[in-house]
Order: sequence, then C-alpha cells, then structure tokens
Amino acid sequence: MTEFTFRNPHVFLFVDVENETGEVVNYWVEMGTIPGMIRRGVGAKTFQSGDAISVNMYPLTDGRPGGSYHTIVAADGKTYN
Amino acid sequence: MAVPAAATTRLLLPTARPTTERYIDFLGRSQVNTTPSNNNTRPHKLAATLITAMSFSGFLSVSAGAQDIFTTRDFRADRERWTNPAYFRNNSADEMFNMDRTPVDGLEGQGQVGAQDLASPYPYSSAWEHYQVLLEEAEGGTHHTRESIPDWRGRFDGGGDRLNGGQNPASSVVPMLTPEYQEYFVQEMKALADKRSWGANAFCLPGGFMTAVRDAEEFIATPERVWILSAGNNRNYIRWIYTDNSGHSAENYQYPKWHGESIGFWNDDELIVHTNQIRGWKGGLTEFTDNLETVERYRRVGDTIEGEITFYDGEVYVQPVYSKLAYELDTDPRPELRPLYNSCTDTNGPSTKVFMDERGILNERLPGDPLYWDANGSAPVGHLSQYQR
Repeated sequence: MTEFTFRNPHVFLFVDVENETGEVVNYWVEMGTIPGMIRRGVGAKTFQSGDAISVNMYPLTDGRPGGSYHTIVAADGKTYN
Repeated sequence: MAVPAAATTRLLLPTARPTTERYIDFLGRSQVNTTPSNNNTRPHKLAATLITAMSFSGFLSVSAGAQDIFTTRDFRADRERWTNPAYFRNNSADEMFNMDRTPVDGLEGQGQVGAQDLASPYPYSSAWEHYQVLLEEAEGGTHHTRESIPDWRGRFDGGGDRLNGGQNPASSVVPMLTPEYQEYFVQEMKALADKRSWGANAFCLPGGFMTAVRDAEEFIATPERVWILSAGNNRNYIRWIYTDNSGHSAENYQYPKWHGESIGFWNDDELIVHTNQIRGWKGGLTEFTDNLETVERYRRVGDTIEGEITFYDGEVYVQPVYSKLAYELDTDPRPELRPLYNSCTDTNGPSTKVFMDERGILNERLPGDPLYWDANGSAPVGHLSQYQR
C-alpha cells in the first residue's frame, strides 16, 4: 500500500500492483465514508504505507486503475468489508 | 465512481441479493451495501485477476421475454407496460437506485406489490385543509412547557427509507403520478438501468426537502420551536418548525426554499407539521414542484420516532401520496461516531472531481487525470490558479 487517505466523503487506499507484464501500476481504491468505515472497524491507522494488503474490488468500467472496494485483507490478516 | 458492468457475464443473473449496511454514498443517497453472493458477481482480486476480469468487455445481455427497462431502446414506446412489475424486473425504485453499485446488469428485484400503500388514507384535497382538521381535533393544540415537552433526545437513524415507494416494485409508483411525471419517473428508472445515476450532492447541490425528511437524525423539541437535524457525509440538514403559533410568512414574502417553511403544533405527545414553500427538486416518488405541501406527524414510541408524511402536489400526484416514517434510536455511544459537519467540497471539490462523462455516467477524476485537483491539498488555491492561467 502506498497511501491511505482517511477523510470524507470517502476513504481511499492507493496500492501498487504488479500486472501480468511485470509493470507496477498504482491503483486507486475507494472505500466508504469515515463513519461507515469506523463502524466496520477501520480507523485512521488501520493501514500503513508499505503494508502488503489484498484488495477485492469492483474495477472501474473505463479501464483506469481504480475501483470500489469490496473486501480488504490487512497486513495482519484481518478482513474488512 | 461508476461501478463496472464489464467484468461480469450476464448470462446467469443471480437472484440472491443480500444487503448488509445502510450508509450515505457520495451521491448523497441512502444506500445499502450490496454483497452479491453469486459467484458471477464477485469482485475481482487485484493483481493478475483484475486484468483478466477487466477484459470481459463483451456485452452478453439477456433479453429473454418482453422488452423491459433494461433492454428497451425507447422507454416511451412502452408506456402500457410501465405499470407491470416485470417491466422493471420486479425491482423497487430503491433497488433501481442501487443498480450502479451492482456489477451485474438487470438483476431481478425483490419488489412486493402492495408492500405499502402509497395513497394517502386521508380524504383531504390540500395540506392546509389536512393540517387545519388536525388542529381542530387537537382543540388548538397542546401548549407545552419546558417541563412537559416530550423527551425526544437521542440520535436516530434516518427513517424515511420508504419515501420512494419502499418495497413496492417501481411499477407501483407509476399509477400515483400524472402522465408528465410518469414519464420523468420512468426516464430516471431507465437511466438507472443503464447505470446513469445522478445525485445532487455529487455536484455540491442540496439534497432538498425529501432528503432532509429521509435522513433526520435529531429532534430537538422546545415549547416554541422544534429543530430537526441531520449531519454526516455530504449532508448538513436543518429544519426549523415553529410551534409558537406565529404561522407562516405573509404571502408577499413566501418563496420556494430548499426545506420549505414549517409550522406545527403539539397534540399531547404528537407533533404535527405543515410545510409549504418547498423548492421543487427530486426525491420521494419522483421529482416535485414548488407547489408541494406536506403534513407530517411524529410521536416517540420507545426507542423509535414514528411518523408519517402526506404529500400534496397536484401537478405531480394524481392523488395525495403518503409514507410512514420510522427513525430508530442509535444506541452506539462511541464518541467517534458523533455527528460531524462536512462541507461538500471536502475531497469532491465543487463539481470538478465528480463529473458526468461522455457515456452519461457520473464519474470521478482520479489523481493524475486531467483537471483533477485535491481540495484538501496543502495549497488548493494554488491548484486552482493552474487552471486560471
């Protein structure tokens, strides 16, 4: 993970992902509102830059490297949805 | 953000549609988090899987049976089918509003014909007549003191989620509307079927009267005035209800306002409210005009503020329409969940980050995209000046 932005209206994650050709692409992952994420157990320090995380998301329809998160597995193995 | 349709096939339409949690999305809509359980609708794991998934761009639409809102090329030509639940694949209006968050197009909905009565049970032809009858029944109203005023303290979850027809299929809304507004309604349903949603808050516009009713969270009651508040993501709503017998503004000073002008009275522990001068906007069953007037009734029953609202707008509704309201007490005491003020420009910026793209889909600019700017950046004015040069 390269950046975690804990702010409204939505929380964001940025993650570097290596694609099939070995190119590293920075993906933009949109999460929910701050109150909504707090209710799901996500706080301002849940994710730290450099964490290895796993993201399931609905990708953007236009092919840009981003999407809307579905579940995220944090570095400690905890799953957030 | 536009949610993808491309990453799924459309041959096997799942019927299961689990929902988990309500929240307000960046369009300012009350949402439920949809967690599709069918394998067909699973989101895609990043890395290699994502690239593979995004290559499913073929459009394998299902068009079995008669033309419906998802397959029609001219919804206006289908007018005789607008009252048929099958035309909307049995989706409620609320389910249609969530279509842009589902990766599968044309999901079957769980609408139930008759789930709630949309027609007003009252015989009145105007909101004012309705209000006056209730005032007479209350013999002029109960004049509370600070000691006797009902205790409505607490924070409640917005309870107007039935304003847009509740669990009725979208087809049940159509007969409640005049022909002109039937067309507006179905036009919006068609846009939603195509994942072209539009939300006022995405453009930093107010949600309007219906949203203020839908999302009410706090009811601060004093003998002279009641404040109804809602504060959260992309919404900072306040309504003032004058219960001091001061009446409405003189006609010469009446004009449309986002939340209208509200007066009310108490009948023992029940608050009755008349609102006029509401600015025409969208919400509830569909769009409405500046002529909308409403009568609301609220009472606290245990941990719930129970209520109802009756809508009078002869240009929109063929008869007065009605919805029950229920605001449940939020019992989560955590300080971090207190209400908060948000300016719409936090992150979104004034209509620069969220925009209508060439497909007619509400979209967002990502960091690195042309015209993206970060309203929360260290020098937002400096960012702006780049575009002014």
